[in-house]
Amino acid sequence: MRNDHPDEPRANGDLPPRTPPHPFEWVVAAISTLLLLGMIGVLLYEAIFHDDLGPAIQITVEQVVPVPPGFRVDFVAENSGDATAAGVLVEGTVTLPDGTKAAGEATLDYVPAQSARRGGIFLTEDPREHPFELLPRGFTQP
Amino acid sequence: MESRPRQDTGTLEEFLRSMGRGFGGALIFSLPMLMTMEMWWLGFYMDRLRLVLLLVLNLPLLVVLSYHAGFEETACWRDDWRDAAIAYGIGLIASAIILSTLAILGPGMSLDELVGKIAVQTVPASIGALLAVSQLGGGTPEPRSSRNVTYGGELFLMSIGAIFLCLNLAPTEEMIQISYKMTNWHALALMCGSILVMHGFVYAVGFKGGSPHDHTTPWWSTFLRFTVVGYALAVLISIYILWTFGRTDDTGSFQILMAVTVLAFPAAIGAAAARLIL
Repeated sequence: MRNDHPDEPRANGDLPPRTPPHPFEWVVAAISTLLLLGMIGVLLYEAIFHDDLGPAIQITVEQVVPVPPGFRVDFVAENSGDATAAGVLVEGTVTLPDGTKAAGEATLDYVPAQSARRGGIFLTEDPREHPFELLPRGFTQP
Repeated sequence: MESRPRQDTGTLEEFLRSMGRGFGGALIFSLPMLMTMEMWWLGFYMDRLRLVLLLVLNLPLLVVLSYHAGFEETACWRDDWRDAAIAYGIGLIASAIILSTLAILGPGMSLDELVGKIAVQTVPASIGALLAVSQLGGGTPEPRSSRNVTYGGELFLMSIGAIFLCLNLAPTEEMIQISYKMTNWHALALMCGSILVMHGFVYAVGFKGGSPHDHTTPWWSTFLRFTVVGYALAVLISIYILWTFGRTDDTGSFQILMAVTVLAFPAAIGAAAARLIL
């Protein structure tokens, strides 16, 4: 593997000579350039045609699981907006027939733009039996 | 066996000294990660299949790294496999000892959590163990870079540098937080900056002896074949590491691109510096 004259093509040909560059190097360079230009293109496109609408968060219940001492409600928060929301407070409220309410809440650290994050709340009453509301209450800018 | 002559026969004392250096190296290279809480959390929540994939991929990586900058002047691939296995073991034991001493591992934790916490740290620690021996002035009389490095070898060394810095930074919350704060213009500026600094390193390597490109080659040739390719490697490795740590799950492709731009910055510096250092 040793060669005293690294810049000279080898006689035994076990490694490609250093100069001129092997065609393989140009293939790799071409693929890399395309990748780089693609990244720049997407960033530029988004930078120019960005509407800046802010976050828009929708909560969907995925499942309700009975766990002692009550129920766990798993949800997914989807941000269809184009800005990331931090510290998203999600609040769920069950209204019982006598008008009293049972509530639970969770805070999601981040819900990035065009992305989803999962969480859950614990409730003492079954949200499937009574009117149930699960809503995002607020966020901060990251 | 006879293709790569050994520099010395290798006594037991010398081997133990190498092991000691390996431990020291594992510590120096992995302490920042051993003392990062996100790395402990990853130990119990990261996807098990992705963790296993990372551990499996680490082995051939160590073998090739051993060839380029190993414990000793290796005589054949079998020796490289052996040295890689030793480095893996050192990384594992060093991680377990440090995490136990820092009370990150303790009674009451499930086997899954204990294994996960050690395993995720083992990868950077084992790379550190292998690298350290070459960095701390190991037993090799002439630096390994005198081995005629092929273009593929150069790209491999760049990848190691990128992987190492990615592993250091990708687990932290700051990586994604920065990407949430940045506008697209910030991201574009960061990309240009990364490539510019990277080319500075590539240019600096041009002054080091035995570099694969001489000064008669036009600048754009070096720029395209090393800087741009190196940046592309940094991007691909950033994507892989972000995916491994679950940072891409349920995340929009544009947000992933922003996070990749952030992580590719240290990865690019790591890649470029690796060619200079290793």
